[in-house]
Amino acid sequence: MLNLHLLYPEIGLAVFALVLLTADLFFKGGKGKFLYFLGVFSACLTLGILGLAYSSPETYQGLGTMWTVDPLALFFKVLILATVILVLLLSVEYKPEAAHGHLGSFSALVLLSAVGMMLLVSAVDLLLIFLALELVSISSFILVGYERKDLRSSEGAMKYFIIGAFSSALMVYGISLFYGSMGTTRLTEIYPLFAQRSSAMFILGCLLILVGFGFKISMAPFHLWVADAYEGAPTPVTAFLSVAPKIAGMAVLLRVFTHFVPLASLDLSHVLCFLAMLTMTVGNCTAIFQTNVKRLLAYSSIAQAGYMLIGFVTGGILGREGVLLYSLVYLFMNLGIFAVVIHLGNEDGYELDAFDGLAKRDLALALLSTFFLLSLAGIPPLAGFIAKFRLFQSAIQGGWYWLAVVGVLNSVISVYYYMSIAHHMFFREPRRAEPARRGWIVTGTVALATAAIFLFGLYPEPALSTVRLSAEILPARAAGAARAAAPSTGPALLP
Amino acid sequence: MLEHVYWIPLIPLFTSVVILFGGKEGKDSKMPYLGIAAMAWCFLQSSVIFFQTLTGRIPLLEGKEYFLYERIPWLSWGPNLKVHLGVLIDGPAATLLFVVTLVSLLVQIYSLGYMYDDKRKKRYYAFLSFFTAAMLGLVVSSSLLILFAAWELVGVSSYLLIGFWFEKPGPAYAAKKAFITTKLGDCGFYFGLLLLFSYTGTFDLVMLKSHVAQGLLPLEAATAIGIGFLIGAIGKSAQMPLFIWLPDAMEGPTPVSALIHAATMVVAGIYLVARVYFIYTSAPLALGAVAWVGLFTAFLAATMAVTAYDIKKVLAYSTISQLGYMMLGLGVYGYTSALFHLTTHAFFKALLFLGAGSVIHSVHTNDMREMGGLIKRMPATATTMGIATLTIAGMPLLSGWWSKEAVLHAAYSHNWGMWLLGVLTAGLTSFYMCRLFFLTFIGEPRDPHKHQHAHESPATMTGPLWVLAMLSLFAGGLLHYNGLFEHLVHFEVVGHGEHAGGSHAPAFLLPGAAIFVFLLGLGFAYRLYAGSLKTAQGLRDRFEWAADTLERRYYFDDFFLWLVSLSDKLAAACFWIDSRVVDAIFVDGWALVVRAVAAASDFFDDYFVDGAVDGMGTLTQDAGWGLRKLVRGQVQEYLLYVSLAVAVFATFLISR
Amino acid sequence: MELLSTITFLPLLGGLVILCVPKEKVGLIRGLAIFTTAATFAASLFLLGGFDPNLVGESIPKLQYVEQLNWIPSLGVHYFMGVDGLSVPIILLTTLLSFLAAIYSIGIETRVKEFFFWYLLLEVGMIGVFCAMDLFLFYLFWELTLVPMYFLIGVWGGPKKEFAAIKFFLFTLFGSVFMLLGILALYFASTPHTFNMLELMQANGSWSRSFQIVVFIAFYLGLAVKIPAFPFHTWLPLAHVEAPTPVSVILAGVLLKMGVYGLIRISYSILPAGYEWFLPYLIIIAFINIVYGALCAMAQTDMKKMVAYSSVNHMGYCLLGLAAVSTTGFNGAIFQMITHGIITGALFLLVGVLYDRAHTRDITAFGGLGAKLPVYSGIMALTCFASLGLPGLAGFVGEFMCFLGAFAYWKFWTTLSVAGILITAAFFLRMMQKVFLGPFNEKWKDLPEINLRELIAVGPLAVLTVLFGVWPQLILGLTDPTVKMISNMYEHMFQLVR
Repeated sequence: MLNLHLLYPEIGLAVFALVLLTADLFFKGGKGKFLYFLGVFSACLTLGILGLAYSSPETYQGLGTMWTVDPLALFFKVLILATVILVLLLSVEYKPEAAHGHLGSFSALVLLSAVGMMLLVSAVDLLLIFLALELVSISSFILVGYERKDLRSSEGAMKYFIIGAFSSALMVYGISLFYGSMGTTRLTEIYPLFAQRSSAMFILGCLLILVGFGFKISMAPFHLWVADAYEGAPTPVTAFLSVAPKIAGMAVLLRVFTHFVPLASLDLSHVLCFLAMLTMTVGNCTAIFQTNVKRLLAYSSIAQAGYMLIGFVTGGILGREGVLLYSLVYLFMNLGIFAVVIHLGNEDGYELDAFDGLAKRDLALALLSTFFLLSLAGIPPLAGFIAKFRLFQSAIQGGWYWLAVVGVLNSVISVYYYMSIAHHMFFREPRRAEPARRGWIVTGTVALATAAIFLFGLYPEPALSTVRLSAEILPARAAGAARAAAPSTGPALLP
Repeated sequence: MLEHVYWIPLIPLFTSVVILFGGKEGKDSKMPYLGIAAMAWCFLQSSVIFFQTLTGRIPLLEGKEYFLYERIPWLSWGPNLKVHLGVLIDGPAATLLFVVTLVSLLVQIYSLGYMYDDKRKKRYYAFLSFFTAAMLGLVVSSSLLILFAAWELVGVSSYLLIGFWFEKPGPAYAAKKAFITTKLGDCGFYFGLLLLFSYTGTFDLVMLKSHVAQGLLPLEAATAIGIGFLIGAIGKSAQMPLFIWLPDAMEGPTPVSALIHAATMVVAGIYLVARVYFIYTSAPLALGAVAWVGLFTAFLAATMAVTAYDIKKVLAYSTISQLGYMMLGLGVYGYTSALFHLTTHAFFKALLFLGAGSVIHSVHTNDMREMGGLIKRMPATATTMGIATLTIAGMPLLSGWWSKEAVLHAAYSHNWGMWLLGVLTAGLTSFYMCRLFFLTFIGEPRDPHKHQHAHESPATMTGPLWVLAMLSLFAGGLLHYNGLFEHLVHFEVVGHGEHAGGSHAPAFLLPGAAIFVFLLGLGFAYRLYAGSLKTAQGLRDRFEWAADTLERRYYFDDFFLWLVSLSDKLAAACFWIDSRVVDAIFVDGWALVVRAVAAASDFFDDYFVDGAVDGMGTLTQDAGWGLRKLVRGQVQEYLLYVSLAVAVFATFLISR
Repeated sequence: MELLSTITFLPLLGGLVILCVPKEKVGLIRGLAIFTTAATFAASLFLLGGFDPNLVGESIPKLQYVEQLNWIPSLGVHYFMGVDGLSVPIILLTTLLSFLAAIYSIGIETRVKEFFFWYLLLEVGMIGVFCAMDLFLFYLFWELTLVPMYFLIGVWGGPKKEFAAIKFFLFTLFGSVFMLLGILALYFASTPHTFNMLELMQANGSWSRSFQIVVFIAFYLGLAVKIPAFPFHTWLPLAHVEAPTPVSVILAGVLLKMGVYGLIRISYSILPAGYEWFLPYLIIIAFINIVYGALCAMAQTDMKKMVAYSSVNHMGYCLLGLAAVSTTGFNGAIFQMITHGIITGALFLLVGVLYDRAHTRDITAFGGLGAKLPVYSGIMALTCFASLGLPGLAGFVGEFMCFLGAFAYWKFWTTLSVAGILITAAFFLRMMQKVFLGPFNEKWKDLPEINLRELIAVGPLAVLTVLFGVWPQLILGLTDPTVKMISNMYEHMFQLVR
């Protein structure tokens, strides 16, 4: 059963991407701005098609040959498309001319990597996972290096490429080992098998796959490319990279390592626990000493990935929901702050003092960006808090007390650098007197993001219930293998 | 009428508020008359109470020896724990009511003259009324907690009045010193209260008495409480070693010294001990402490008075010494005698201070070496002062004689050694008081200029002097007459009559000794100070060290100053620790951790893949740093390490 | 809308309105802010009017003005507000101080709009903490106070304001995140899982002692920072000194109380075993706070810093009362909270008044001001005496009851703590002598007397200081019934301690 109709959204989007590529030949330079909007339009259309899957699940959800369309996949596809839309819109606001060489191909690349991610989140075959991942990576390499004349850009791209290639290699190796031990790359088929056949080769394979994804989601110690790539890339691309591939990677990890091959069953939980601690700590502590906003946000995004990993460590339904919720919230707060960064960067560059005295020039924007930062830091009553709360909740429930402790301490550290941006906005004198004029797109994006973080923060019920529904994975696994979820309620104290 | 006793403290309280906020400040403010009127009313009330109780016309005692009125709860919490704003009138209370209101009234009248041209008259009278209110509250309150509250309030009003002329550094310092020194004693009082409550669960004097009678208070607890209260009393009544504040307190206006630091506030300590006498009688050790503290204070203070030339300081020392007598009296089961002496002392000491005030008022100096021969200039003052001097010196049949005799008698019947020292002190007393009188009024004027301008004080000042003089002459005798006072104020010590223990003296011995030392002191004083001061000066030069020790108050002050500097050092040390250690641990500690991690990850960045070069570098080098790094292959190196790490880890994972 | 929510969110409304006013209309903004705080205070007076102190439960607090609705079902979080004799006085204190400090804030000249926005937001958080009966909600309000305070200190503060601000933020957050973990632990320990404080108070019977101890520590970290209890107090002197006057008032007057309130409401009521385990340490910490705090205060020459350290000392009295675990002690602690809020609030205002005129707070820089500024000096003297615990003024009763309660079980440490009283007296009197008494320092000959605005802000506090001192039953009457119930909640357990 091929069930190709399950992939209509991806196909549609791919077609649009090709259209844009060709259109790029005809619209040169500045007057091609509408290509951005064309991209946005296509993304919206795809969203519409996704709507079908929600409206009539019996036909548009289900298991394909190498892919499945289940609530989890749909959830992440929606997030990815939302990211694409916002990023493309923000690219309109992005001034530096270098980026405006080939608008069509730019948005086409964004769309293509989006297609890759959408495949990624619904793939149930390691081969498809790999292919999708490559699609994503390659298009992102190009995007990072899009400002060809800027050395940093090409430098970042180069590193990103080398390290990315390396990680892919590791993953391929892992997959082959996997295949060697299981005789299949089809995840849907292995879960009856691995219970009795979890050989060394198998474990090694899983480990390598994990490491491979570790690179993509910038898990320490595989995070060293992040700062440079993020700094070098055109800011909209940075925004895109900091959100979409990360949450797509999370989705795959969820599918593979909390469902089909639970980490607990591989005794990898403690390893991941350690890596999670390492990731958030390294991310936060390094971010403190950054003076460049994009680098700062790069490290912050590493730290955020660290928090999300808590959900994998604890496994279980609570952890899974935590990751979903976090991805949802993270999208809005991160894009929100990036919108501000793009807006200010156009005039003042990307050093921290670009924010100087924003409160005096544009109080509303300053307040809202403060809210984004606070939300990233996880201060109630903003959405970031609820998301973190969910994750720590799962940690406590699973008895991972030290993980929780390290997590909260990290959020204390993170406050320091998030607030240092607020410090620039409120405590410093503006370098320029006249209020910063913002276009409707920035305003709209920021407003939307603010609305989101307040809604999810003050009335998270809808989000939570959506997440609960979306945590469902097809095909549902045999109950026997449900060893991942190890909830230990009650006052048992030591993990 | 006793039901309305609580108005006696309240009226002055309200008056003080009215005076403070009503009308406008200035030397011609009319407010003083309001204060005097109010006080006159209080005086009438309390004198009626006093005499009627004295003559037994209002029986305090239908079976019980006190009148108790508790209707107004001040604090009530938890399982029926209550503190009432109650009134407890017994013999001592009635007496003190009379004394306090009387002296306060006289002092306020006197102040009309003394503070005639002071620009803050209104405030002065407000403070006086407030003090009186607090003092009266202390006297009548039926609960130890309220007593403590009033105790603190008289302390603060004393602070305000000592520092009344606060522009001068002297008063400012003296006020602070007085407050903190007494506060030191109050800590003892505080402790006593806490301990008492933890055993009995009440502050109500009547209930406490019955509790103690039932033996609810174990001996050691009673002793500890007694000591605690004693420390409080030592602070308030300027006993050894906390007497240091009283001489300095003389910086205040003289009428204030008369009221607060002679007649009323300083006896609060004595009154406290008397109020909780039932605790002391159940704790002999504490009572002994009371006796010895009193005795030594009396003696040391007397010696200090011998060399002082500041007229008010002499009086201050004599006050301390007399308070010592009262303590001694209490300590040797001479309950009645102590309170008797308290009463008479109030009269003649107030008189002495007011007299001294009148002198200072006219010659504008405290130094007796600049006086002399003033008797011609101010006869009224001189006469009254003379009477007071004789009274305190112990001239037979005057008030002081009766009370002091009673105390010494009690002492003798308790322990003749104490008696001996007491009599010696009496001799000293007569010596330094006569010395004061001679130096001031008799002999040649030593400062003609000042003598020229000296003049008798106005009637507002001499009037009170005469009243007090009369009291000093006769009050003692009258009260002593067929044991009136003893009937009013007495305390039956269980298993210990007033005369039990000790030995009985031959009838002539005690009075005889007293008269002898009186004359002796008088004689010496006359010999040394009536004429020229050469001999006195000679003696002084010969015994330089002794005189020095006495003027340094046996180095008590220096000791306490050392203590203060010590505490300052301690404070500085604490603050250093706080800012340099405790805080540092938190702030720098965190910073350290964070930096360490950051440094580590930065190292990796820099070494392997970091191309975050400053713009200059990038522009100057066509190829660009990071790319060169790639060429140099450091990224690859990093990846190599990563894969090695993974491999090692994997083998470990598998080989398990 | 129910009364409690009205009181809590009225300031938020005001803040949002102020955000919409153009920032040039300074007068309007100030007016709005003062009106809002006044209205809030009025509303809280209604609360007081309708509150029946004698309506208490047997085993757990009986709340009044309860509002309960299912807020986040999937997290098991309820919007659960309610008050009892423990919280009502503190709520009144909060609204009153916010009102008066707002009046004083007219003196703020720069960036008025932002100031009052943060200020009102802060008030929301403070009131909410004392109303919330659901741990999640409690934590929300608790954290809500951080950010506004950060900006209030950081923008309008003194020379080292920026460091002070972030230090305050990090310190407090450091504590409270552990509290968050504690809250989660309680949630999972209770069956059915709940954040409801009252239900948790009944659930604790089934928890192991070790569990309670660990969770207690987690909570204590959060609360101790706020109180502030040694050694977590070091953020306080800096923050108090750098903050602008009205903010110092709020900081000392209300924020410190959140810690003590939490100790009674959560640590004691929900984790009795942990509390019982901690008592011996608590009494020692109380002693250190009292004596060490007082000594540190004595070492200061900056008046504001002195007052700040005196807060450490005074909160020590509260801890003393808490360590007693008796009606007396708890009553004392609450009383001390209220009076400390009033008195220290007034002290900070007064120091601010002097600073605004002289631009220095150095004790040694003045002298003889008593002659020049009689009214100001009078009020200052009154407040200082109240703060050093003079009977007849508000400071005494709470302090004494704390000692009384603690002494019953901790004779040794309580006796040592009595020294604190002496030291407090010493440094206050020294300050008064150096500043107000003695020869007048001509340098200040044209120093203006306290003006009407400041008088309006300080006056009520001075009056209350006298009123509560003369008639303490006003507060005790409110708290005592509840406290009686609370202190008997776990009698059997605390009998063992004694």
